[in-house]
Amino acid sequence: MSEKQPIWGSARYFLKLEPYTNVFSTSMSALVSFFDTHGLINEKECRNLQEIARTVYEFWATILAPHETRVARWIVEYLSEINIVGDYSLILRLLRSDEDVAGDLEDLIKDTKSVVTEDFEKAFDIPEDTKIIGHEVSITRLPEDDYLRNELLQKILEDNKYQIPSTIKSRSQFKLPNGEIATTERENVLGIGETQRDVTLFSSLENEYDEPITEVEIVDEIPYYFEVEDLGIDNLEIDPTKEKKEKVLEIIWEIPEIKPKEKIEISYKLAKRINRTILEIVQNEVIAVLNTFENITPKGLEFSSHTKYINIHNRPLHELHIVDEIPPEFSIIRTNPEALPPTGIIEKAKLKGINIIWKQKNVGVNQTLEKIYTLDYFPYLFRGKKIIVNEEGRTIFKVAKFILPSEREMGYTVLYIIKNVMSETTDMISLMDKLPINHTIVGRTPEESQIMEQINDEGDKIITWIVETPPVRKNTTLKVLVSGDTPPLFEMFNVFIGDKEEKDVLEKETTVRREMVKSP
Amino acid sequence: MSSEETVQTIIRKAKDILAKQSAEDFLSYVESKTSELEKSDEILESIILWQFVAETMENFEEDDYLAYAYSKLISRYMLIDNISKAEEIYKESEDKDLSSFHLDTVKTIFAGRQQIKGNREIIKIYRMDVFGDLELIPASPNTYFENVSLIRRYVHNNLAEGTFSVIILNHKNNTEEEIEISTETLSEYEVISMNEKVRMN
Repeated sequence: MSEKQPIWGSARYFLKLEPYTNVFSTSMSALVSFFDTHGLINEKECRNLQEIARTVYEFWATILAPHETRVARWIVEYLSEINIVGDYSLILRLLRSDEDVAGDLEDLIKDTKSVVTEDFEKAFDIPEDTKIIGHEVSITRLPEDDYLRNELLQKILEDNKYQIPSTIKSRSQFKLPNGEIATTERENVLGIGETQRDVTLFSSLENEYDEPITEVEIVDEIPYYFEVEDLGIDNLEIDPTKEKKEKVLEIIWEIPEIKPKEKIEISYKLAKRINRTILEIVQNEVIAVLNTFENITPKGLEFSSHTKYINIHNRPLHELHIVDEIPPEFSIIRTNPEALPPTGIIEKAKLKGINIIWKQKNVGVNQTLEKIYTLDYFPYLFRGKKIIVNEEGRTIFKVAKFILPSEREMGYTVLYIIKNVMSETTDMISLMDKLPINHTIVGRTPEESQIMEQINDEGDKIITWIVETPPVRKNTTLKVLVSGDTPPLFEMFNVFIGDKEEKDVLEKETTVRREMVKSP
Repeated sequence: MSSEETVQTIIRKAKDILAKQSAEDFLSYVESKTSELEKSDEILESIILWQFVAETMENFEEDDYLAYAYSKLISRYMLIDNISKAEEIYKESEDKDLSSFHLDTVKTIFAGRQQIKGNREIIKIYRMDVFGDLELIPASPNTYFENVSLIRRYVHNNLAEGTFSVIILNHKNNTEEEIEISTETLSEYEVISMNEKVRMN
């Protein structure tokens, strides 16, 4: 936890650094705040180490004659107090230097080309249905200066890191009654899955013509970042074929005929993989970068991932860097071997998730490096908000549902809030929600809340909270504690006012992202 | 070389840089030289140089650099306890309507020491509920603030936990600005969010 520390030579002025990561690097960001004995004077969000160092220097310089060496030493000692190992010489250099490192690095990279990766795929035991994406980067020379060398390797890693897509391309081809071949193309958006780990994808094709279309082929391009756990096409017994392309797994559905106005829907249940970037310094002028994708599998109440790397070059590698980007819904429990600096570093960056970084020098020919990660869900918060409008389109109620996880095996808490915006109704409100069948309500606040439980035709547990309408501009809330050792359902609830039900959905939006929020 | 000669040499070289290169290079050169002077406690020489930068940048109409030079002048006059000169520059910067990160910081320090009334006043505070709706809460602190960080500090110290939308009147240019401030302890979550708008029968 960051605390404000006095500026050396002053009893009245203090500085506080709040880094957004636990790992010292030139790309680390932080909030730098400046205080006097009364309180905060000013603060600045800094995007990198150089900006942090200079901001500290500038705050310092407003009240005392500045000395770069003292500022650098102060920063290193401050970071050390919060368990970050800094580098005095580097900070001093950044304070003194005007050099534009990024511009210089650009000049060192000659070119980048794709390479064939079949040999790597065989050696690495990669998951079925994935490929390795490979690039070879030619550089003029590896800088002898450690700082520049690290920055260059970091840049190559960043430039060649696999960018996780937010949409998935789907294309189709079919024959029209007149014999012409028509094609379509669309980007499908990923949806949230039944559990935190999954995402869903729906791909569809509607015959908008008045006559049947034939010889239909729908191709969904699934990035290797996603493992296909399940897939299906409605009402049809068709198995797709799969083709591994350079960056995507093509799933090809052949449908003999689609009737007029008929819509074919394909659904996928996908699971995220670990996005691994491997950088091999093969020679002084040649650097290979490989992108691989590692499965995460459930193991009891936890998740596990087993990765393998082998040096298949016919020479030892000077240096090897592996960066494993863990999908944001997971946190890391342990690694095997243990990640201990400087060889293994677990970087936790605020709002960005976790990277596990391995650096190894002198990797022998055929030397194998295996890593096993044990993962758990990152603390999640489900936030469902529903705005209810009347026939005139005016908002009458706002209703929210929050799900908060409790300790492992202790279940979770669901909080429902109903706000009466402008309704004069005296009818009772019913809020209907779904729970997994094996989950049980073990507590409720207020205790006298009226909750009905029943099982519907699909075998889901339906709970209905029946409550009086709160006065205009007032809220009413219900908190239930649910016991269950599987994840909750991340689904929206339904609201009834008296005997009136929801007629149609006017807008709907779903997102999953890392946020700083207060537990409601 | 005497201090005066040193300063004159730096000024000549700086003018040369400004003529042949850019204002940025000019400032960077003067900054490096004033830094060296200050390390050997030659604060007065540093002040002369910053005065020279201020005058030069005023002619160049470079407000950012001018604000920077003013921030240096105020802080350097404070360093040598020449408060009347610091106040003179402070007022000049007010009259010229200058603002920058550095100048705001230094002015806040100066205003704190002299208890000068700031320009920004909180005129309305709204509390945000769980649905993001704003509700006006009583607030007329009639307190003036030098910068937005101080307003944040005021809200953190004086309001209950919550998220607030604070409307500030800047008396200097008679404009209103709105800032959102959360005084709650926030935790990092993977947020699964669903928003729906439905019509009721």
